[in-house]
Amino acid sequence: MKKEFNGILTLLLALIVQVTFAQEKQISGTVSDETGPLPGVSVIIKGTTTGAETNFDGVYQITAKPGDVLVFSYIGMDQKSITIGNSNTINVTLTGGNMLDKVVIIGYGKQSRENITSSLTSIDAKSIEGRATASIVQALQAKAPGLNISTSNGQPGGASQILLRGINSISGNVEPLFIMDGIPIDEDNFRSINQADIATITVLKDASATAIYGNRATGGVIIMTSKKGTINQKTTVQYTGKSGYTYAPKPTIKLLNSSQLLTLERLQKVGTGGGKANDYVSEVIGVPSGNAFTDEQIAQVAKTNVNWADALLRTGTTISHNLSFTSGSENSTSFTSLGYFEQEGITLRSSLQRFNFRNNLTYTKNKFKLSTTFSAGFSRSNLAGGIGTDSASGSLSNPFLTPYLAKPYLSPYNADGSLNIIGNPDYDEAAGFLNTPYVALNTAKLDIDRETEIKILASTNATYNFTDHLSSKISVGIDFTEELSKFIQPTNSIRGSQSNKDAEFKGAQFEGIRRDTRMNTLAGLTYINTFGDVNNFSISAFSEFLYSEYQEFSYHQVGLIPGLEGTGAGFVPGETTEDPNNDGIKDYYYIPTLGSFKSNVSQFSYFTRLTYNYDNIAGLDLTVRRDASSRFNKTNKWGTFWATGAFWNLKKSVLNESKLISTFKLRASYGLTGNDRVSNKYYDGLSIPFDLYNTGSGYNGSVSLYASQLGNPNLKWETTKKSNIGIDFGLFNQKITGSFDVYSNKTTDVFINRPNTGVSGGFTGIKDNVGSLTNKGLEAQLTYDLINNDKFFWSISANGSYNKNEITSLPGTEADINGNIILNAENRAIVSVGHTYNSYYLVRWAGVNPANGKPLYLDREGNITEEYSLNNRVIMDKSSSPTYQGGFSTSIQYKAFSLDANFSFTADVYRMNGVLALTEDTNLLAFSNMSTTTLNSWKQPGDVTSYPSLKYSGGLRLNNTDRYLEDASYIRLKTLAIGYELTETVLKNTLFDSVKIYAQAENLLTWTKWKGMDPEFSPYDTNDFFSYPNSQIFTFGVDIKL
Amino acid sequence: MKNKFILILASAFITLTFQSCEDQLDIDPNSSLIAGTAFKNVDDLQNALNSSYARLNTRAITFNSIFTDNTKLGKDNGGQETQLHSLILDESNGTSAVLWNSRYAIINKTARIIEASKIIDITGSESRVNHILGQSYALRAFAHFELFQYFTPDYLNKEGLAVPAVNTIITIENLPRNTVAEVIALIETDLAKAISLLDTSETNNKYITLDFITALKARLYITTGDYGIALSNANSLIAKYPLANRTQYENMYLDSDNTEVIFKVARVTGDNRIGNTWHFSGGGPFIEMSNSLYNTLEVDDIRRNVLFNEADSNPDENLHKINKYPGTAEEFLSDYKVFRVSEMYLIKAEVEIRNKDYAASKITLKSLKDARFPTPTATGTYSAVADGLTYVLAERRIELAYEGHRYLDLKRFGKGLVRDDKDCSGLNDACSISSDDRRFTLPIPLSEMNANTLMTQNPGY
Repeated sequence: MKKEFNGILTLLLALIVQVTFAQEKQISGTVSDETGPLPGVSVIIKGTTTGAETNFDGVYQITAKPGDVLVFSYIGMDQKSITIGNSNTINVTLTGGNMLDKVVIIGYGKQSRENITSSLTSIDAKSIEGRATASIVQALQAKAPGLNISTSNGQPGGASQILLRGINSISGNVEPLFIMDGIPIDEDNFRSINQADIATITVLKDASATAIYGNRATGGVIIMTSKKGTINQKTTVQYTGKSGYTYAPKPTIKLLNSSQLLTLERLQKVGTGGGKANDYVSEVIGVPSGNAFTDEQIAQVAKTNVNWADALLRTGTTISHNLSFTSGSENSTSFTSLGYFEQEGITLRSSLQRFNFRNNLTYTKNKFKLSTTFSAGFSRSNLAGGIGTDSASGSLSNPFLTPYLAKPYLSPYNADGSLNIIGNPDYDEAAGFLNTPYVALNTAKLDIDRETEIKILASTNATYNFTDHLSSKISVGIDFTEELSKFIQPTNSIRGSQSNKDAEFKGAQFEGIRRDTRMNTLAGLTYINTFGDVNNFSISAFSEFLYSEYQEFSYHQVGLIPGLEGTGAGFVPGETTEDPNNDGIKDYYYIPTLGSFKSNVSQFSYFTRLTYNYDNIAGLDLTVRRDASSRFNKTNKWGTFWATGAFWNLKKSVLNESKLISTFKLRASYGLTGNDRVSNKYYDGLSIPFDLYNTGSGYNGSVSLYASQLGNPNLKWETTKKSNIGIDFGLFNQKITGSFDVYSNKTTDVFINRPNTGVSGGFTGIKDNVGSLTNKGLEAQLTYDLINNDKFFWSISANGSYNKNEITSLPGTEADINGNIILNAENRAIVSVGHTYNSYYLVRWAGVNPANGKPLYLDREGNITEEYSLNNRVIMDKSSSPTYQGGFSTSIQYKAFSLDANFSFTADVYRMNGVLALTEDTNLLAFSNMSTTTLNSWKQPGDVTSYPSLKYSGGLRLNNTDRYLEDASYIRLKTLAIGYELTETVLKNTLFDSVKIYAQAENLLTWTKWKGMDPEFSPYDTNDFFSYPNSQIFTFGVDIKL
Repeated sequence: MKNKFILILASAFITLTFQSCEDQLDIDPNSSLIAGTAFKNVDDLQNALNSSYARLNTRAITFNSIFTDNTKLGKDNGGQETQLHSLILDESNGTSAVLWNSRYAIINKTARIIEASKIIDITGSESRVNHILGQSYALRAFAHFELFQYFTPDYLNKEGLAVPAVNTIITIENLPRNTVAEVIALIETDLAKAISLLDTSETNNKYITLDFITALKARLYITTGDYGIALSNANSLIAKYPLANRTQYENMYLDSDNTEVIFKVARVTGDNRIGNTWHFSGGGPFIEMSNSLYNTLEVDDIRRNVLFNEADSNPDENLHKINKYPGTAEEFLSDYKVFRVSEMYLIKAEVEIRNKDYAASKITLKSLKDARFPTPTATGTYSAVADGLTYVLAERRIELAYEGHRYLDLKRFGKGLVRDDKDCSGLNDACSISSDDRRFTLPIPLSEMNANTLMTQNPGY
């Protein structure tokens, strides 16, 4: 690749031709806004690619002809056009706030919002800069209508589920494409990226905006650019520092105290209170087992009443420092930043530490412009044990599970106040769940699960303007991630000592190194011209190549030498033999397991974009893109995607007399986008077209050879037809601005794991293109500047979206006896024709029979029955993907004070509360604590209660009923920030340009009916089973410029 | 001139990247074998056979113990297997899918071996290949028989529906169910081929031998009601294998004695451990022996020592740990005994009872029981077929406990499932199933019903 790039550059340089200019003159001037000179404003001669930028003092110089139109544009400000007359000086004042005319970043370029036909949302990077979250993606939540971000793992830097305009595939990838400085980057990993470096974020939604990304655009596109310097700017140094604390949200499920629990145990004749404590517990509590406890014994033992959450959860700290230098000379600019971030999670062992470096350079000479971006991130994540989502988090090491299980009369502390990380020293005796809390403490204290990651994002981008109208562009980028995961169970930890039970040496160590390299190159030409002053025309052509490579190596060693765990010297040699059962056969216990894996993906594309508009009043655009993906067979490799869009600016035509309406634009677009990501993970599903065999371990310690996959050579592109109609408007001289969009996306040839006959040898699913689904919705965004004067600024804004997802067909899946076509009827949330993705499929719970305390259900017809049968399941009008979501915010500045509040909300979304279900399952009483709701159980005929008799309440959580299906809608005060900016008079004789101090809170308040710790969840995790909740974060910060 | 120049440049731009990238778009999988080159020599056939044996899982042990009256929920149960133990059985049940898919996997894998043997060059290795093929046919017959046992509503109705009988490599073709007679015919054909191909000198009981086929035939024909053939096959094994004495019997479950083991599935480090069917690693039981089985065990019966973990149990507190697969080199790691000669005694006795030859059956059963007790045992007192069958079923329950027989025995003997109240308290009425309940035949798994339009479900599901 590199060689080829060099080749093109040489070619470029060799072909530089001199062009002479007739009747040209030097124009100069100053560009300013309300507050003063504006650096970095782009000045372009309309219809050409010739342009200049203002320097730090807002001054620009450009060579142009009389009659040329100069277009002044700056991100976030209104664009302005001025025709050159006789004067050689043109001074311009730009104003902000008019959303419609802002310049925005679009796919493979920039464009004035005025001429855009598509639906997109720009997010103000300032609003996320100060956020205390470890991942930039989390900071985007509720910032753009239609963009749904949910984080179901509260580990600092934990991955989020990102959906734009609903779930648009069934087994294929649904997440948007992320582009950073022109490089496609991994959408699942942001923990090593410094959000303070980000300058702009644009969310592209409809076909017209995304089709230029063709093959990867079905889930939408999120484009980010990093900060850069501006020409001739004053060197600025900026320091931002923050420090604060992370707090666990308060659990809403109330557990029994020691006295209540022992009484319940006595009643149920199980556990300690029932006289069935094991020897260890008997000794600890000082009451022998055998007989059910007396009231006195309960009172004595209940003197110990601890909250295990205190031992396993904690208040974490968070610190961050960011230092940046920005400078610009006549030809070049630079932006350099250093970042340090550290955040402790709310449970033992959980933390993220990160160091970032970035250097962005630009160089401009005449018609040649070169820019490079380089960022390196180093992060170290320490992970708590047993964290997962959905049922995967049922591990007994999970510190969020243990506080619910632990008996409050058994203390996590030794007599001297230190943590008791052993519990019952006789492991075999204690192997049951009763010792689980101590094992979890032991794991949290002694075991290590650490991921160390290096992430490099780098790009080089060169443009050369051959003539006023024709420019060329070439860019190369790389996203490199190397992650080393290290997992150690030392010999002295409980899990370590159990990991090689029969052998002499215990303990285990796993290390895996994963290297993911994704490279892309892009070359393109753009022609721009204006005919007859009003006919603005452009055409671009590009070709792009992507190549990605993934390599993995791992080992797993069981048997470590005490004291040397974690080092290479600590491995017991593999050839060591033992014979513990003295059968004369040597046993090998220490042979390490090795793993190695490699895969690669490539894509090649070429595409073109045409735009035309008539005097910025009305226009059209057309994009066509051809993509070839290595994920498909030769015959299905190529896909053609396209989109067309149109706009009509009514304010510039029929509404130009209106006083009320200050801007009004109509947009419409229609097109086709594609998806080649057969699976969610980037490197998954690459071999689907092939019939495969593999070797592995076989019967009786032999080698085996087996068919490992039935290929589907017919696999092809999944396609989505997208249509969008929208308006952008401003009222009362832009005091109120907003936009509305209506869209309909229809996905066909959906990637589905199609059911296949098990007679094939258990290949019960084949990835195939079957089925179709739709997402239809509305989006709205509104901003109202209530007060806007020198001293006082107050604005409120809101955004919201409605999305209706429906599966429209599933060919090849038969209707069941009730006429429902269900792809995965064994699940609690299903894919079924005519219903939303992940609609719940459950037996309806009908309370408790007052006569006998038995649970009641509804059968399919709605009659009450005492029988629980899966045949009575119905497809509910409730699903795990939210119908409504959005946010609202207010921003107030009064003199030097500022207050910003952001709320996020989701509505019409449901989730199973597996945590509550577990604490009400009285079958578990022998080793688990219970919810206080168990005290309200049915006791005698006539009792009206929603909790069954204790005789029948065991095991109910495992039934597929809607008893624990809860409304997980919420409104959350996502961030609240209060700031104070030191006045100029104070700073006058200091070296500081500006100093701002602020306090900020994340997730401060939540209003919800959900009964768990955190209502936020990914639509794919339909059951909350002790997942890691998002923490509350409080920080104080300072922002200094000099 | 200038325009032309630019045009050339533009085309150069587009084509340069295009050409160098085109060959990067055909990527073959890196970490697997492509089908066309998988089988090259006889070693590959052997390796594929190793993979077929590896699918002999112990799901039958799981299902026959947990779904019946031989177990109850254990002290440390945190929800493990409670659905199955609550006798909830519908088409989304995991046992159906595991048995269906793993047995058809054996059938598919062996079909691939048989097909591949026709393609590769086997010159000079004919006898080795024959032995591989013999084992393949025998495994295929065994897999078909197990499917037949679980998914056929009525073993004796020759025209009734059984399972698809498969002797080719199926990939995406949908097949309907074959009749009982058709499935039995394929099993018989495969067994006959196996007998003609197997190396007669092979005696390792961890692999298919001629004795495996004899034992399978005894079990097949007692199931299909061909009692005479069942008896002759049982007799030929009884003549060859002695019953284990009390010491040998205990050692058999420590895998250090093979006196009466006709075929067992080897379990080595890294394999699933049978004891984990009921226990967590570390030994905490989530499923325990039922009171009803415990109460039938006599104190001096060696089988009580084998079945019941006296040391770690406390019957007074309703704690009864299962001991059958304690493991030696590793906790709970034991071989899966598929055919033992004691089963042949039980088959023999059953046939004798069905033939009303009560005296002979009593001698057969006494000789089995005498081997298990320190002193000679009393003979049975039955004098009618029904009583005799009840007696032999009770003896099967103890002798073959936790070896994958109880559910199938209840089905075959036409007996309902009745649990002791102590074994089903806390479970919503999961205390009994009548003999005509749909649950005595497994449902065709939902995944199969979803995929295969020609498949018909068993009655009642």
